[in-house]
Amino acid sequence: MGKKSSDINSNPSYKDVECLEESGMREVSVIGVGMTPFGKFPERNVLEFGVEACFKAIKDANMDPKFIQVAYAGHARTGQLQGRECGIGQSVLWELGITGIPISSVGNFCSSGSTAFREAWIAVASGMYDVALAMGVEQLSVRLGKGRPLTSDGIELLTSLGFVPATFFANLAVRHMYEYGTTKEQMALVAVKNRKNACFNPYAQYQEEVTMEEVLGSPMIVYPLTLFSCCPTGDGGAAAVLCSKEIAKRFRSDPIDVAACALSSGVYQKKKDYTTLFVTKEAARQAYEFSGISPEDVDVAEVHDCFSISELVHYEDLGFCKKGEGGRMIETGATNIDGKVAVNPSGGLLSKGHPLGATGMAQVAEIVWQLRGEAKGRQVENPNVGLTHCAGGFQESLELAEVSSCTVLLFKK
Amino acid sequence: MENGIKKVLEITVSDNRGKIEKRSRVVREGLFDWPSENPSLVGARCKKCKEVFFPKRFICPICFQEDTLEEIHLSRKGKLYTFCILERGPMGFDPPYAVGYIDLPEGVRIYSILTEADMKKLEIGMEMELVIESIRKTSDGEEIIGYKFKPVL
Repeated sequence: MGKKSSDINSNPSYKDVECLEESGMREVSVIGVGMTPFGKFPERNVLEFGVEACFKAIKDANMDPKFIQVAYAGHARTGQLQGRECGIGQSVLWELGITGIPISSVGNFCSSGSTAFREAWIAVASGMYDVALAMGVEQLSVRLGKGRPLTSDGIELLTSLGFVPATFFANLAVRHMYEYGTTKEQMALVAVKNRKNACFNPYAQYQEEVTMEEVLGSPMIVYPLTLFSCCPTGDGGAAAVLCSKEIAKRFRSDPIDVAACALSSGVYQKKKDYTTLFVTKEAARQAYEFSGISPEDVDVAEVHDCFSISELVHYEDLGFCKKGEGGRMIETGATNIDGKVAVNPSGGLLSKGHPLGATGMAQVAEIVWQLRGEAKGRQVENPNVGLTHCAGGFQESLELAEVSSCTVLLFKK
Repeated sequence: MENGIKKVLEITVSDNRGKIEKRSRVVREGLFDWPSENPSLVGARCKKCKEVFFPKRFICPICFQEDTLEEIHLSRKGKLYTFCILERGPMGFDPPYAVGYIDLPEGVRIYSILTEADMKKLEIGMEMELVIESIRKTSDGEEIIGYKFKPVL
């Protein structure tokens, strides 16, 4: 996974497989997942989301909590919003009687939860620990300036010049429309599909369908992105228990294997092409090479649909379709629940909302349920390989730069 | 242009004890010449690899050597690469306003607020020109001076 491609801008070579045996790491399984409903709960305490999610995940693993040896907590804005830069993991697990073990916080923008998952995976894969817990929590309903676009962390200068995450993706959308003829209707289809899927997800913040007309006719936030083209914020928590594959069946008969956990940061490129997230291409390249899985093998994926255009670009950058074909791909129905690769059967961020640190862990929960065959009403037919993708944060750069963090995780039955 | 400069420079007022209070400041020192009658953005060029950066950097990330960067003044005109229009803005901003990216002849693609927020008057590839003006006002009334690009008509 440490291997670097000589030319980041060329298409990744999926043949160049660096397999698990060569890396000297152990195989790791997920044996328990849990999450809270996502929504806006300003009356609750941020720790409650973690306690509920971790309790559910440990129960789902049929495990005595004393087996947990190490834990990582992902959260992105609890420092700024709640005065909790550190200590979320310790306080959550304290409530559950899990004390004394190494616990630390992981902050990595929208990828905070999935980065915590990757840390837990490394801890077990390295052989240092047998059982690890990863959680993600966030509570955005307590923020000031509700009803305005959420600003991003870590970009003081850009923010002072009127930049918000929505402008990054709106600028991208305009350029994608210009270069590839992507239409507003194709972008709107992302929201229509994901909101339809969410009707069967009891954890989603919004569980009602929207029509194309409603998406296009909802108030403009940042042209060309309308209200229903932007994910809502939200509160929530999600967690997973990981262990070495060797011991997984002691706890559950149906462990899900972790095939790869890749993390990348923004890739520097002069006069960057604004229709591609190289951060996604790089994480995908690492994950596919490490696992030997190719994009064609992926049956179900939870991708970071922070805005409608984002999902179309992720199809392209994850290798689900050719560059520029994202808009046409959704039109064919290839990413519906019964399509070639089901994307966001949970409803995605557009329906669940985006409690930053919890998002990546909720994606893991959905993929584990899908691979177990437990996703009632939104179940993909007999999937073998699942993928999760998170991308977020921005570089403090006035030259066109990249999203700052991206994880691509691969799972198989 | 000259009038514009004067206007910004004169935004200093006395408080009730007669003390002169500065009522405007640049968004960040060193991004552009100011005050100036012919302001431009200030970037850096690497003497070794000739790469140009905006804003100035500590070190050329390509050559990774000390003392290879020299300050340069960037062209005042460039081409619009992409844009979007905010109908809802973050705290302190007054929508609608547009932001986008400008391609400068030196080979940098830079973020900027645009003076024009009417979609019908913006087009990818159109020529744009630098202006220095107030970009917002803080809650206590201080003007923040930044750079913008405006369509060349």
